[in-house]
Amino acid sequence: MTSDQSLELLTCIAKSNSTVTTSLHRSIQQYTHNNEYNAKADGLDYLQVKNGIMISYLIDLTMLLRCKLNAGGDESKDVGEHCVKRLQEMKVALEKMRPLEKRMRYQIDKLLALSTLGAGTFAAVGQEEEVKDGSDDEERGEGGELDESDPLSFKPDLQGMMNMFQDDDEKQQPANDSDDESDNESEIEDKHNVTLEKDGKESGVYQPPRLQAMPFDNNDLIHEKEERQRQKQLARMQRSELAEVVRAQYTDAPEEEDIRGGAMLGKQREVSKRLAQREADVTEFEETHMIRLTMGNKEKKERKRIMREEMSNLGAIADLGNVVAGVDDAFGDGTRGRGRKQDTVGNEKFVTRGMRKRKVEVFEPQSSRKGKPRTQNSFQKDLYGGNRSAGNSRRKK
Amino acid sequence: MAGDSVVVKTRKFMKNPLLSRRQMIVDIIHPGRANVSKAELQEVVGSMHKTAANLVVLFGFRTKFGGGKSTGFCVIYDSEDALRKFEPKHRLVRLGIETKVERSRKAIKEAKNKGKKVRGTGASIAKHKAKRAANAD
Repeated sequence: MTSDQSLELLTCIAKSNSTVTTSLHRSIQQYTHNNEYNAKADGLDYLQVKNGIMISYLIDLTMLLRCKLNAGGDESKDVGEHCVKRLQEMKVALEKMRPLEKRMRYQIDKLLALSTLGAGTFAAVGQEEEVKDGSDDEERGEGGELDESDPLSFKPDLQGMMNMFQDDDEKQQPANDSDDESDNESEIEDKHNVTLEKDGKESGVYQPPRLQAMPFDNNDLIHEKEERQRQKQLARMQRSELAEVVRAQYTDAPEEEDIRGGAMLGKQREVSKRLAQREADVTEFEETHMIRLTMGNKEKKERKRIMREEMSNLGAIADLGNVVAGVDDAFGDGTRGRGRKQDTVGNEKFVTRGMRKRKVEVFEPQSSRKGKPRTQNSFQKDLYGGNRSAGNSRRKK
Repeated sequence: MAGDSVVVKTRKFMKNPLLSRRQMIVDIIHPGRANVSKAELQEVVGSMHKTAANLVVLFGFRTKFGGGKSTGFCVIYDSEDALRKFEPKHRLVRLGIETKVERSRKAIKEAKNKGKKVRGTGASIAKHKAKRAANAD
């Protein structure tokens, strides 16, 4: 039966355990006391210590659990206490080791990468290695190379720094040779002039010194910009009048009306509020500093435009501008953007100029358009699928 | 030239002992009139604050949209010397105390570009040149 077998197995293990431990003890004692063990040469590696401590921590933990489960008798209590003491020691040791490991992390990672990917991945120490690595890289191809923007592939360029100091030394040498006192000033001046001329002749553009390579990721900038635009649009939609009306339906707060009875709600009110705020700021500044500020042409034009729109009352009827912008992006053609052209709508070509689509006269055969797919954004692809058009579905039936 | 009177009010009055003057904002209500001239205002404000009219300097007047109301700044000096010392040149010209110096734009730009070639005041270079000249002699 399996239970008998397991019992046998366990008893076997227990017996062999006792014999093995005693013999091990003896051999270790012999090794250490016979001066064969040298702490400096044979000592433990840092990583070995760490692993060893972790394992013994686990062992002690299980021992502790066993003692707690037994819970009867003094023996288990003593053992438990000893376990706890050992656990505490190990915990303190691990905590002390953590900052050390942090400092060594770069080196360890580098060595690991070296072992897995090969020696040709890092910036070379000397020129000989460069030559060798160059040929190796060609053989290995893409698999063995670190990405150029990976910070691990950058190493301080000591050779470059040496070059920088060597140039300075060369320039300073002629100055040290001269000893005449009468011509001292003129020589100093000449030296200054010489250095200036040299720099001027090399290039008129200032170039900062290259001391260390830095990783550059252009994708981040693009993503950040898109993210910012999205946030702005979200904020605008939330502030729009439609959203406010919907919100007002669900709050318990009392309704507020302004002196005009809510006649000019929505976008117009926001804009004029902003204008009034700006005017107030300007007058405040002018009065405290006793100086008159001028208004630029752009601001003047914008003000005129806003005054004109304010006179008309169309905005009060229904201004969905903020909401419409988001909706249009999602459900629209995806062609409103900077200079994006749409291929076709029906049989005619359109170009988006400003806010409108304008028809464009194109003298092309119609067959050319069938090969090109219509541009779609991700939302539309999910909704309507790939390059399907209404005609295709009918054909399948 | 309506028969309505003009009301002059001052606010935000502040003493400025560093520049030895008093400064304030002047509000004028002049219904039916285009604008009040600065000369008139000088006398009015001078009598209001008990100073001579020539120590009063007015500037920065702007009429509000629709007319009838203007706002500007006023500065009253303690003495004629303070006025000459602390007022900017263009306002002294307006008051008639100083006359405008006609300097061609080209000459000014040329002088500025020449000055760019010299670092600092050029005193040490001038000294060096003098020394060189003395040595040569």
